[in-house]
Amino acid sequence: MPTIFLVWSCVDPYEPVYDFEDSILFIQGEVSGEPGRSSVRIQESKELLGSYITENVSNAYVEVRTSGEQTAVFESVADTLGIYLPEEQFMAEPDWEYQLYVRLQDGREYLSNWQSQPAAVGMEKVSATFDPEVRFSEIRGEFVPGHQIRVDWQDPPDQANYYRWTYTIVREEAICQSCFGSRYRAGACQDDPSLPISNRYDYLCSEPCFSFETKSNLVVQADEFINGNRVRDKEVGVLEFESRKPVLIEVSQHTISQEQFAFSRLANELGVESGGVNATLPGALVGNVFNPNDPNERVIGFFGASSRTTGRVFINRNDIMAIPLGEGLTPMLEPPAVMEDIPQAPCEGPNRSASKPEGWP
Amino acid sequence: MWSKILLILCWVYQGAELFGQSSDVTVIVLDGEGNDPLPLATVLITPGDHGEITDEQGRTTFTLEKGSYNVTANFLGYREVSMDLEVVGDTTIQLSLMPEGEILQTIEVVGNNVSDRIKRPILGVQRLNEQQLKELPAVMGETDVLKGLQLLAGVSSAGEASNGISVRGGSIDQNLVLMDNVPIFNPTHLFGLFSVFPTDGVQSAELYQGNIPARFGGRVASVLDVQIKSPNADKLHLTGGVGLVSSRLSIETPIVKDKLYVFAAARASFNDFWFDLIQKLKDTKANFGDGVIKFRYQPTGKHIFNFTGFYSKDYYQINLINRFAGFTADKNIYDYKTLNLSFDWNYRIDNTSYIQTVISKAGYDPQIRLPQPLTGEEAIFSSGIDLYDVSTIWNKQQDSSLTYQVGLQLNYYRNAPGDLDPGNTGDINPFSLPEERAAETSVFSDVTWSPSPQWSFSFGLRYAHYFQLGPFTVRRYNEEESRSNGSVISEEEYGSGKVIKSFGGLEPRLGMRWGTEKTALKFAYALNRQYLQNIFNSTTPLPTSRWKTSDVHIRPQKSHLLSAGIQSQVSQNFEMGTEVYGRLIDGLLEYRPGADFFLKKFVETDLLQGDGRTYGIELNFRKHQGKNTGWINYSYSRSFIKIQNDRVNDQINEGAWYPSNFDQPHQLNAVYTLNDGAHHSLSLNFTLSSGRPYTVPNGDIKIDDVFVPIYFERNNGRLPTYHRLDMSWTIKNPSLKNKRWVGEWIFTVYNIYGRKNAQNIYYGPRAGSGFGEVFKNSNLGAYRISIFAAPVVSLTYQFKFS
Repeated sequence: MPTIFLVWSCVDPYEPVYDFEDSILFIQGEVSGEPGRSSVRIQESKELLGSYITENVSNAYVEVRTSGEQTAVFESVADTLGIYLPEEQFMAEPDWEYQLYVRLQDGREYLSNWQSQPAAVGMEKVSATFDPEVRFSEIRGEFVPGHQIRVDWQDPPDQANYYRWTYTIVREEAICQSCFGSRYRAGACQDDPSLPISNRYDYLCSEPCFSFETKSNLVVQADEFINGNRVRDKEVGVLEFESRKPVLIEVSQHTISQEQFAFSRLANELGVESGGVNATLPGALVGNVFNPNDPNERVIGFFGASSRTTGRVFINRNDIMAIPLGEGLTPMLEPPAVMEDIPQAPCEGPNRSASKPEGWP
Repeated sequence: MWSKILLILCWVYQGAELFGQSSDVTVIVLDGEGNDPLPLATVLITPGDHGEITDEQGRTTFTLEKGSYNVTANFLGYREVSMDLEVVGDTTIQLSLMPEGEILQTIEVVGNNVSDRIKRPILGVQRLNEQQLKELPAVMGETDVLKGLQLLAGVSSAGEASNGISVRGGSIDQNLVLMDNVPIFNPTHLFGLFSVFPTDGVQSAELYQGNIPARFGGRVASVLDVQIKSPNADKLHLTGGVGLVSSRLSIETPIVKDKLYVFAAARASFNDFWFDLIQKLKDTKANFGDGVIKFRYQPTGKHIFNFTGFYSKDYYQINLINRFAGFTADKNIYDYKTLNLSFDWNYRIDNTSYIQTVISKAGYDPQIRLPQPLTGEEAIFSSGIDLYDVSTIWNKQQDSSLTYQVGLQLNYYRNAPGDLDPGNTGDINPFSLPEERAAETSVFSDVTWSPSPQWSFSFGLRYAHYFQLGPFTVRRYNEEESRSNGSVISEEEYGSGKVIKSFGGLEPRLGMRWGTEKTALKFAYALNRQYLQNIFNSTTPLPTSRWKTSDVHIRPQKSHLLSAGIQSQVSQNFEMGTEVYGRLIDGLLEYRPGADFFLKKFVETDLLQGDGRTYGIELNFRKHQGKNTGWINYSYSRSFIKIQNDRVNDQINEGAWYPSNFDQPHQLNAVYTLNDGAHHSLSLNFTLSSGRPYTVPNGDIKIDDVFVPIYFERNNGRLPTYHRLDMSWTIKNPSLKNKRWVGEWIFTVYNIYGRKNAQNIYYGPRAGSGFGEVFKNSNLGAYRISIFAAPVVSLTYQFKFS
């Protein structure tokens, strides 16, 4: 980005304008070498009363074909509409190729090209480096402190490798339930007419509780210029210093195909790195899913096969010489009552677990 | 009695002295518009058939007997002037010639002699001389060629923060920018804030956007021909300025009297220390500098030699993470430089003809430095382009109605598109892209013929032949598929110097003018080809954007331009003109979605070619005399692209015409100058134009944690209307004393009312829950970038010393 213009330039929020197109099909899928990590998601764009929505498509037939002439049928999941999952034990095999086939209820058919699963490449180190000015916050108008999450790995020589990283932030939670206009009783929020709907009460956890927040900013890299080298301190994410509470960071290093790399890189440029005076121009996100009967139909999506390795770093933030940015909401515990103990809530819900995760001391 | 005899004797003696005594008559020939000296003009004195060619000061001296003579001066492209002269002793006369010839028809926006502008048969040429440039308001106290041109009809910035101009809807790289006959690949500092042309060193700047003379080639939109001041001062002259952003100094002096002169100018910006006072700009550096030196050596009346050297360097650094091809660098660091050298020799054959031979080298070397996190070790991406040029032109003035030129030109391109030096980073491998080499040979001729005062014609013909040369690796692709790494059939190696591919063709240029004393009708046609282009998948090119020579897969661009106009003097003080034009382009470059040229060996997989068309009408109205002067011009111009192909993936916008990035239909410029002639000069200029196109999403989709905008069409939206008011106030010689040292204060304000004109609008992640009232229920945030979002105030002190 031309730098000097920061002196006079400014970036202002602007009311988003769209030129909506409906009936655009979005198909994203991935088969993994680990059980329980393969899925396909189907959505379709709709314009509803002037608003743009993506509608989950839950009544399609989805199968993944293999070069071993086997077929795995992915079934729609009832409580996560639009997502299709295979049998629990399904996992991709390194030497096979995979192709996605989708048939919608109206008969439209879609295919991906064939994808093979790249071999996994392990990480040698996951680290977190504190930086008092980890990034510039436009909202705050200043640099904010935080940790850069970095990885080291040895890139295999004599082969083209493509990487993508995601990471999960694990926190130990104190609050396990929040009730609005209600009180937590008998394992649920019970309406209390005496409380305004805006009133919030938080309830402590009755057991250890860990939350898992997975982040992916589509960070990718090809090994074109690092082939065969030990790569050090590749930044794969940023954790702002919002609190002194410790966190565990679990980084996943995915090895992906060249096509998936290109798709993810463009998605990153369009969705994350789109700012700046000379950012990459907007362009169509062309994936590898198409309608074999109508190549002109616009389908957005990618079906790929990937491998994954993980690494962890535990960050104790108690002694950091900086002021935390703040966690957001201040806990609002229900006031003690004379005749009643305030109940505590169990550790429940998606992305939460009472079990201490690997890597947590 | 004796006194009378003495008087008679004295009278007889003096008469005898006068009779048969010689006198020196010095003739100075000037450009009638800018009062610049005209070197190599022919001066004829009759009777006696005395003929001489002027030197670079526009000066020549005759030794004549006392008596009556007729003095005639002419110069290629100017109307001949004659005057009677009674020689009674040593004398000096000035003859001012008005431009006329080589290019037909003009719309002259800046100048004073309206009558001559009507008669002058030039179309599509904008001309600014040194004085006119200084009268234009500019950013931060710097008068500037490119900023000045943007106030003229048909010329616009390609968006603030762009390093060039858009001429009649063309892209930046479709303009050939020359400084003393040598191309400048990046004509700006600070990403377009200033042009590299030295403020005190520009003698003239001519922008050919219509009928480009045949001696110019290689670009399809325009030629900007900037001439550096030719040193001719008899004594030392110093000029300079001290400003908030940059300071400058120039010197002009003789070295050997009447033989060797030098002009040198330098400018530098070292005032970035105050960036540290702003947290957002910590560790920011923004330094630039340039220098030009020009020697003129005239050993005899028949030979003039010029040498020009130009160097420019920019260095910018900001403390923001930079990412290239997966590399993460702690800082954005751009470092680029230009080094141009030219030598020209003017040889006078006789009183009506001369030969000009130019040997030059243009070089441009940008770098991106990539300091690695934690270690600070730098990897450096560098690229470079060199152009070697030899040309010779024979100029002949047959008579007052017919002039012609014949010339040859040879260009050799050496383009190094990218090297990666890992330094001591340890985990990055060195990488080098193969150089591209090409040659271009041209022969050309321009003829100007004025058979009557009403009619003038200009005929130009250029034949250029271009060769892509080895060594190089050429891929062959399956023609049934889009070009991609997966559709490669074979790769073929070509040895050093081997011709891989060649292109060529005739480029006719034609101009006509018919007119009266008050009104002129004009018409022009030009065909141009372009073999070198700048490729960039962004709104405007960066200084580090890659250059690409035409090759097996990238054919040259070819344009046909047709234009016509009328210029009229409506009263003593007012004139107006209209020009219409249309241009068709074949081989226009576009980019596949997500195209990335960084260290990419085979860029043709990311490039598409199609058709372009631009058309428009330009109106201008000006008051050119009096204390209050100014002009208003308006242009309606359109610029479209069509990328159509049998293969769906090789189309943009489904093969339909769509607006190019430089499509700004309406543009209005108004300039007002109040000049009391002695103490103050106040200029205001107002610019109003349609916003340029940008791309609006057709929806969005969440991929992992990121909402990604979905685009099917390109340039389907338009930025808000752009408008801006600038002011420049010059206080001349505040002490009001006529001294050898004369100072001026220049106070400028750019964007007086601080409008936040959008440079771009982009869609990206919403920053938490912020700006909810603006973004509403959109999954994406939209952000408007404004470059000069506040008034930019500057004060400069400039001086002259002689």
